[in-house]
Amino acid sequence: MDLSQIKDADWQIIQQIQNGDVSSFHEIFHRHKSNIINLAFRFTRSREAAEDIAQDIFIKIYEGKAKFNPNAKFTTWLYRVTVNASIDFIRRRKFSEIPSNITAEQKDHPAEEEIKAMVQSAIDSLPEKFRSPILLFQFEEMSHREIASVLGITEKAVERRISRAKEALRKKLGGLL
Amino acid sequence: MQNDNLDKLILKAAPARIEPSPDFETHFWQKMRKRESASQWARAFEWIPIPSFAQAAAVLLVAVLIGGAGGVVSAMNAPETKGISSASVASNYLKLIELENLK
Repeated sequence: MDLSQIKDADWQIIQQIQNGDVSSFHEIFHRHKSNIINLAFRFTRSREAAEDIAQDIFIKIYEGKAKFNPNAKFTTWLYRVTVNASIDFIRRRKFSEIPSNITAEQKDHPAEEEIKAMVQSAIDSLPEKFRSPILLFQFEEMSHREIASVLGITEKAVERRISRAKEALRKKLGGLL
Repeated sequence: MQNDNLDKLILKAAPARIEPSPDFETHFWQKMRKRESASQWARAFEWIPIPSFAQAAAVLLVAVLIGGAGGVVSAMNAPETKGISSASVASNYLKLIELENLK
């Protein structure tokens, strides 16, 4: 495909990289590194893991392995691979080890940090298909449409999953509401 | 109302944004170099053919058939000479020696 036909500047660079010209790689690297790290960090809550995931994704890009699709936004592909890598990491680490049964009733006046831990624990205990949309919606402030593209599901499914996730969180955190 | 409270509560749990470590880029290039040198080694050994499963299975089958055929021939040439298959070179040598001695 002719580079001038590609509207997304990032896809233009990806196309150049895939043609063997890596001179513009640093633009992609510096433009997106912070967002990738933070997105992975939301999921993994480990800086080391988040940076590791981001580095692996940039290696993929540098080696010309990004799945070229100029019809979608480059960031959609980027966020999709980041979410998938983060979910893989969580599965490997068995995130379920984090206690998920803490309830507000266990503490009479939980301090701010404890509340935060309880909410995080409640989010961690959600099944993955509910957890990803709620994290992207609440923390990344993505629209339903964006979430649908990133997760490869319909907008309706995103709405349903967010609503189910909130329902579950309301049950778990009832005492804090 | 409860929904608003839940949203606020969830947002409270949002981890603060982090900045990439100062050595993030250095680590990235180190990883890249490691991969590149690993792929150079892989290229250096590219000339060694790695048989596919089908090829390896075919070679194994031929070896078993040849071995099996040898066994059948050996069994057909009974009786044995001094505990050695009469089809073997050793057995023929022993027979020759015996004949020589008889003369």
